[in-house]
Amino acid sequence: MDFLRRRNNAKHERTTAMLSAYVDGELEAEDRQRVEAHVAQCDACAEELRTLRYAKNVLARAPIPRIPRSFVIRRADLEAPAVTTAPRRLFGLSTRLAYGYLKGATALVTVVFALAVAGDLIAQLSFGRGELALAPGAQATVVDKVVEVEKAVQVEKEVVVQDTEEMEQSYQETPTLVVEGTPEMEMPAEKIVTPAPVERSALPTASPPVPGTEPSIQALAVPEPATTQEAVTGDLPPKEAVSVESVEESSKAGETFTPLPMPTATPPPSPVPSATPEPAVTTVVREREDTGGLTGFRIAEIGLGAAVLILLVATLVVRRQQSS
Amino acid sequence: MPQRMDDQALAAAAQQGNLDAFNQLVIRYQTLAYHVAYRILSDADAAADATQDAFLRAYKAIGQYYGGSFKAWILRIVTNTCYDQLRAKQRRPISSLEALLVTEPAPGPSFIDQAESPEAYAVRQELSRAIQAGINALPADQRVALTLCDVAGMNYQEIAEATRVSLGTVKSRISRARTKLRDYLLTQQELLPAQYRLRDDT
Repeated sequence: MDFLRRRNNAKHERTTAMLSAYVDGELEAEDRQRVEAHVAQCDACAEELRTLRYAKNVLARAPIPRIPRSFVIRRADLEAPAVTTAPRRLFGLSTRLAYGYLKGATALVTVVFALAVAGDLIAQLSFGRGELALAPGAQATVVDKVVEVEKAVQVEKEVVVQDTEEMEQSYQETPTLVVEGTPEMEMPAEKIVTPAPVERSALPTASPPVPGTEPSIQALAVPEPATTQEAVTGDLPPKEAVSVESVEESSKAGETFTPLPMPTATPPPSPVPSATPEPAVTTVVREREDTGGLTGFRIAEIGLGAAVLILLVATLVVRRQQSS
Repeated sequence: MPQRMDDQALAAAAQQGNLDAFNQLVIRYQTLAYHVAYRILSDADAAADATQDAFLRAYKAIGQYYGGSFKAWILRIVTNTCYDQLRAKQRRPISSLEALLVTEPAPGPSFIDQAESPEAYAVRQELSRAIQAGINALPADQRVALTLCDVAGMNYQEIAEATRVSLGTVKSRISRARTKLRDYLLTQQELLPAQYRLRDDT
């Protein structure tokens, strides 16, 4: 009994689904016969069929406002609207498509810009100026860019000088160190000479969280031949030795300067793990690098901001074109 | 002479640049085109714009007509034009309560029923509004499919081609749309003129 009812239900469902097509005469002969057979013995389906047919008839017969005018085409119609109906194009794209792309690009660049500014702010607020703790990868790429762009070096130099002065004031114990370590004339030279090592050492070691900044820093500070192996064995090149010495003098300053995870995180990825006054060395050297990174960062921010503005204007222009 | 032949001959002439031949086709199909557009857009002005635009597009694209049912071909263009209008309307919605009213003061020559009393006209106006409200409640795709089926009298295959969907999709859209419209009409029985009510003898 139950089985019969269920079978009937299934039949019922199938028929209901086909009723509309049946009304439209769109069923194959086999389905048509099946529907007719079922409707003949199922009152609910018969009613369904009746009301569906009724709906079709009402819609088919329902009055509609008469056409307001004749739509016959005049020759004049063909000329004037031809201009307006032809879709405007922009660089081979329809304006709608171009608008879509522009909108997307604007949104993307704006987000990147916002992230960059936010990252910069966070870095400055939480780590102080000297230790710009960006995501290591980001820092590395920024530095790369700076090295590539010749002008950036010039700017860097200025900022480094500024920063050095600032440091002189804030860390009174280390003035000699800083001045010695970063003579103004030497900075740009270093940067220019060592672009390749920077790229090589900065990128692969960029993976560890904070210390990732260090390798690139040291690579920057160390003159070209100072490869990682040399540094590890402790054979510090003359330049490095100088900075180590000076740091030893002012290890206190170094300590106050590196309260962050830096010291502990430094050893593994650092190319100079055996150097005793390690933290200080890295700090001092990093100082220079970070200002470089910071400047690059600023440039990137300005560039991104400009890009946002340009894209925004372009988007608005295209949008206006599209709507007109 | 079957009308189909006529359509094809006129279309062929239009393809040679004969605007008068094309206008014969316009005159033949403009009422149907306007009705379809009106049902889909439920706005008299928008429907008129869409119809005019569709015929212009059709004339420019007449070279792409490769025979077959001219009616199906022109209604496909009308449908596409209506979809464009709907999209444009979504971008800047216009309130068109007024458009639901049949504002034409008197029946004209293109009316189906020419000798009509004012009462009959009022009834028709009321009915048109009631039915259009039911159609408006349908999603656009269902509205288009049901209109092409019941107003334009196209078969499922033609509707599938016109709206670029599968036959199964057409079938289910029409089924759902008609069921909903039926439910709506059954709630409106008292408001409908007697001849549009569901009677026991049908």
